[in-house]
Parts: sequence; structure tokens; C-alpha cells
Amino acid sequence: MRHACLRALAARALTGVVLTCLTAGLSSSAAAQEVSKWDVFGGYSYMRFDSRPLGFAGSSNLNGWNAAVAYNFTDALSLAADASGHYGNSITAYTYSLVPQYSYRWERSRAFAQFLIGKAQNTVNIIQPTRTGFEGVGLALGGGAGFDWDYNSRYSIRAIQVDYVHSHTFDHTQNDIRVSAGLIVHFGRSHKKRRL
Amino acid sequence: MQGKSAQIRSADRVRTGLPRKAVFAFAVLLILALAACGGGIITSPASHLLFVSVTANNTIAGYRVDNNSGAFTALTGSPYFAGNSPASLVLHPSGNFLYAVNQLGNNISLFNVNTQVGSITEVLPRTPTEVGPVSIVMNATGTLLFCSNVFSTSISVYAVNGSTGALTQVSGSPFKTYSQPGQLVVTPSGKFLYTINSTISSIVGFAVSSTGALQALPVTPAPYPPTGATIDPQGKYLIVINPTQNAFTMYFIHPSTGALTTVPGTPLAAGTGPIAASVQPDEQYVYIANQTSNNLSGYSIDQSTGTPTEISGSPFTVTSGPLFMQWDPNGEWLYVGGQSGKTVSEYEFSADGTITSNSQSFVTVQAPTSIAVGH
Repeated sequence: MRHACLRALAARALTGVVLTCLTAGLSSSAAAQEVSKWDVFGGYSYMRFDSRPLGFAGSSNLNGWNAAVAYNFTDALSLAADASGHYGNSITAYTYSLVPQYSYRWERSRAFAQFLIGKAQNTVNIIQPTRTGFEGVGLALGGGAGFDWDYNSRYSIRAIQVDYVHSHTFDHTQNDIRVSAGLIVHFGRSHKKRRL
Repeated sequence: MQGKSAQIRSADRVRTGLPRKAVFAFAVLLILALAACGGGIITSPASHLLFVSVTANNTIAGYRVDNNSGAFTALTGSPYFAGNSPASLVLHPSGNFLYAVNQLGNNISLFNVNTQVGSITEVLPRTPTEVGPVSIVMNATGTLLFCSNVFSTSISVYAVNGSTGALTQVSGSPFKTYSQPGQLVVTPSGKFLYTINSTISSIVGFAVSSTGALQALPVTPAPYPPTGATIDPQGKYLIVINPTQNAFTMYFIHPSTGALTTVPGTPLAAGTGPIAASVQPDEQYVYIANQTSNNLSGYSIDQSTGTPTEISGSPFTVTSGPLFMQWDPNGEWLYVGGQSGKTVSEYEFSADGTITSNSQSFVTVQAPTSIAVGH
């Protein structure tokens, strides 16, 4: 009950902050700025892992990290190499993906949508006489969106990134949700931001 | 240069001070909220675990069954390595421990069951039995486990540690009995234990003390050599298979003395090669698995006299070579293990006693030999 209340409060707070961020970001005054050539992202990531197809009693909450290196071809089109690792009591889940991104930029913020294609590497940590875990490797597909806010010309904050990850391991399909947030470091300057 | 940079940062703060704080707050809240979820499993209660011994392959297959659809999902790591010829399975009432008697190993394996993940992990060393253990059964409270030893002509009784599942032989165990004790059954009250003994064509009963000591009851001669047996969930009837006559016999169990009295109308004809019996949890119907004719004979139980009467539509065709049966926790589905078909199939129970295929099944590498179903 206490947890439910805390989560409800957190959800309301999050909703308020997200709306504030979006409103502020969208209403920023337009000014020409350069888009970096390279963006390096790293941060915390949560995954709601679909473990029922593996015989679990339900889905699993996993905590971990998400990192990506993105090359911005234009101010709108980018390609990222994305990796994430998530850990739970009985499951370890890694994804390695190539991620085309489409960005919509404002003066100090960016919203983006992305598509993921790559590899999922999941391990169920079960101790057996002959082994300590069962690993499944398979295709990972997915898509998502996120919102970045520019702290300054060097650093940005990824306020939120939400992805749906569809993986196929252990001869079963998993439909996972990944939520990430963290820091972005920019390198190089190449493109002018579009005026909005 | 430094002054210019400071001016820009200052301007940034003026123009975007609220978002900056908001974004930080958002990131912190997001991380806290998600981290609060922990690394656990969001349990859905609508499933139960099912384990099947595959004796010839020395393995135990594990599945999770969806309570709504009846769909089987193989547990990761299944089939699991077991002892030498696991032949009879028992799941502790808590669901946390699985026991397998290893016929050729002369011991009992204990497995810890991770009910969330569904996996089982054996706890070594195994518990020794006498020679030729064939059948294990546990009382309803999970405090005592009984094992019949066919070549030692004895019954071993073990006290169960409720925390660890460990077995400790009780004082006086093993208890001697008649030649070649077979399948064991225990009443839901835990007061009486019976072993089916085909060599003397009898049912041998014992009164079970609170410490697990066995006191022999008068032997009940069977009209024909008995093999498989079952006791209904309320402990009113003992049902025994008579394969030589393609029949079965029902007995009333006296609740105080454990004495057996034949139910009027039995022995009653079943199909060809009857091998196992099971009473539906609502106590309205009893089913006999006929291994040679590949079907189940169904009978309604007269609630006043106990007399079984074959129901309309019986026998019901099932998987090839049915060897054992077990009901799901809600009494909606019947799992039937097929020896020659090497499958475990699921059948839906209707209120009129009809059994129909639910189109759910799984295949085992070798013939499945026994089953344990969780709650």
C-alpha cells in the first residue's frame, strides 16, 4: 500500500515535470546553433523484461545501463550504435543495436524517434550441476523515442528515452520495454540547426 | 573569452532556468521511480508448475501452465538432470521442494524449486533408501514422506524439514512389510497409509503416528491382484486397479480405523489394460486410464452409496498408452501421460463428466513415468 502510494506520487511528479520540460523546450526562442557531429550517450536504464515465455511466473524488473554513440549525418538524421545491459535476480539481458534516428530539434532541445535492429543476448541464471546459466542469443528489433535537453554546447541530458524491444531468444519471443536516461557528450560541429 | 562564456551561461540560466531544474528533477525522479521497482519478478498468480519424470533419460521435465488457457511453457533449463532412474515425483505442499525417487540409485533426490523462475536445483547429497525404491508419497501437511522399497520389503519414513526440505529418517524406519510393496497412497488426513501389494493380492494398510511410526492394520485381500491406486481428495475412497480382470475396485476408508470396505457395485469393468485411477476434485467422477485401449473410462460416483456408474460418452480417447493422470489445482484440466506416445496431454473436464482434448500437450524425450503438479 505504501509502495503503491509512493509510486502514484512519483508518477504524478514525473508527469508534471515531463509536461514542463516539453512546454519549455518547445517554446524556446529560435536561434541558429550548430549540431555536433558525434554524440556519446551513457546512463541508467530500466527494462521490463518479458520473462513469462521463459517459464517465469511473470515479467521481470531489470536495472542497468544504456550507452550509445551517434553520428549526425544532418540535423535530422543520425545513426547510432547502441548497447544496453540489464540485470535482475535471475536474468541478465544485453542488447547490441544499430539505431537510425530522426530528430526534431529546437534551440536547446531535441525530440527523436528511432528504430533498433541488432542482437539480444539473454542469460537465465539458474545453477545446475553442469552449468550456472542458460544463454539465449537472437535477433532484436524495436523502436522508440526520446527527449534531450541541451545543458550547454558540450553536454546534454537525455531526460527520457523509451524503447520497445522485441527479441527472440531461447526459441521464444520476448516483448520488452526499455526506459533510459542519462548524459550526452557532444563532439565536433557539423550542421546548423534548422530555424523553427 | 572566459567572461563571454560566463555571460552566455548566465543568459542560458535566465532563458532556460526552469527547464534545466526540471530536467534534473525529472531525471532523478525517473531513476528513483524505476530503481524502486527492484530486480524482482512481477508475479502473475495465474499459473502453476508441472514436473514429469522421464525415467529412461534420468531427467525431469518442467513446465509452467497458464491457468486460463492451459498452455504449457517449458521452463528454462528443462529437462533437468536427476538421479539414476527417477520414477516417482512428489511436490511439497509449499511448492518449494520437489522429490524424486531414483529406482536404480536407491536414493531420493531433493530439488529446491524456484517458484518465480520455475527452475529446480538439486540439493546434494541424495537421501539413501533401502533397495529398490519404487514409490514415494507425502502427507498433506508436508511433514512426512513415505517410500516403498520393493526388494527390501520395507517402507521408509522420513521427517521433512519444512524450511530446507531435507529428509531425516524417523525412529523405527524402515518398517518391514509384505513381499514386494508397490505403490503407496496416503489419506488426506495423513492418518493412514496403504501399499498395493500384487504378489499377495492384497492392500496393506498402516496407521501413521504423529512421529511417522507405522503400525500395521489388518491386511485387506483384493479380489484380483491390484496395481495402481488412488485416494479421493476427501479421503472417503481407495480405488484400486485390477489389471488382470480389466477392472477396478473401490473401497470405503473408515475415517477412524482405516479399515477398508468394498463399495457396492465394484469390482467394475474398465477398458483394456487399466493402469491408473483418479477422482475429480469435486468428487463427482472417477476415471480409469486404460493403457492398452488408449482411453479413459469415466464413472459418476453415487454420493450416497459410492457406487460408480459409467457415464455417457465413456470411454474417452486420450494420448497413446496412458500411464498416469493428475488434475490441475482447479480441477478443470486432467493431465494424462502417454507412455507409448511419449507425451503429456491436457484434457478439459466438463460438469457432466465429459473429458475432451484441450489441444495442449508436450513431448518428452523418453516415456514420461510420473507427474507432480503445483498450486
